[in-house]
Amino acid sequence: MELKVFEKRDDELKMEIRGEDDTLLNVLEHTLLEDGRVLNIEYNIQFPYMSDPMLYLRTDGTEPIGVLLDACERLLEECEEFKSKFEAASEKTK
Amino acid sequence: MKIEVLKLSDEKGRFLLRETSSAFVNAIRRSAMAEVPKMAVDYINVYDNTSSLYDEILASRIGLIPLTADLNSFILPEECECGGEGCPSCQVSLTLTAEGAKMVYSGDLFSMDPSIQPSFPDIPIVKLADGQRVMIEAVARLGTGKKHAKWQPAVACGYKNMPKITIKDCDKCGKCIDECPKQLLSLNKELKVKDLMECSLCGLCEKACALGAIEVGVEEDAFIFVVESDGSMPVVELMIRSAEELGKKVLELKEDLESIQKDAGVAEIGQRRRT
Repeated sequence: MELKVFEKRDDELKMEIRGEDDTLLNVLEHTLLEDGRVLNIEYNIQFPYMSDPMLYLRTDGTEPIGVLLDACERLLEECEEFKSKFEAASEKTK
Repeated sequence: MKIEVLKLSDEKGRFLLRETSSAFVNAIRRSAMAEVPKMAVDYINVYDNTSSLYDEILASRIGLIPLTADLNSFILPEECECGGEGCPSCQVSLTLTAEGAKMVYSGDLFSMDPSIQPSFPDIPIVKLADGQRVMIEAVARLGTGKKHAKWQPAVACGYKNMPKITIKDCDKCGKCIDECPKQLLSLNKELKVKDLMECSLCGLCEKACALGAIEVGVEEDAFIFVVESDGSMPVVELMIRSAEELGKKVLELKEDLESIQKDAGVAEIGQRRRT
């Protein structure tokens, strides 16, 4: 993964997330939408589908990278939760 | 999040996930299909092939044979110290030698590493006539489904929302029972749904009801997740690895963002100095 920042202001961030696709971006977008500080979040993968996704984020004035980092933190927690709960549930059936 | 196992074997799994979002479930599904690495034959060296199939077709057929492997002892060629050239820590060779007349099966592949074996020994590769020969060295490497379907550990992987059927003010006419293609409805004093999870949400019962007494909907935060492994790893391992791979991606993004944040801080200080 490689990040290329195109625009960065106090409340805006436009960057390309190279080498990633819908797998990460869709769930990231969804996590950011649950954040009250986010005013607008969208990403676009241009034709052809192998292109790198462009992420656009606008916040209410909070540092956008900080908001993204919080989203990453929540996603990591969710992954860990899935892993531990899944392990526990599959243990039970054995 | 709540996870309930409905059905589980090494090959197939069916789970009920509650209190989660479709975005997360979809990420797990995509990750299981395209991001979890597995072993597959990447290329073959043909020393002798007098069979009726071309070398390329043999390569394709051998490539698609699922191989079981101890994934912790191998690394992706891209991440290997050898730079993808091929070394014992990122690749394993298998040999196939057979002479007709016989049917050559995946079980005839002889692996240099005992931990790497075809998941099923009875997959036909080529049928040899009397006197025909094949002598092949196949090189297996780790890869992901994103690159080629032979590296895709989850073959049938999908999810649907948990159905929710509400019945009220029913006049027990029984028309909806005949309409249901899965025959899930039954009328015995009261209209009842037999197996709610089997409902395919087609909505034919809704249309059949003149009163609008039956309503088919979904639970927005509950999902029935179905996954089938190709045999290269058990379903439990596949799902756990899928969550791990997703976690790795998020972690990488987090680290990259942190480095950007640091760089930006340095740039700002620099600008202040200039002014």
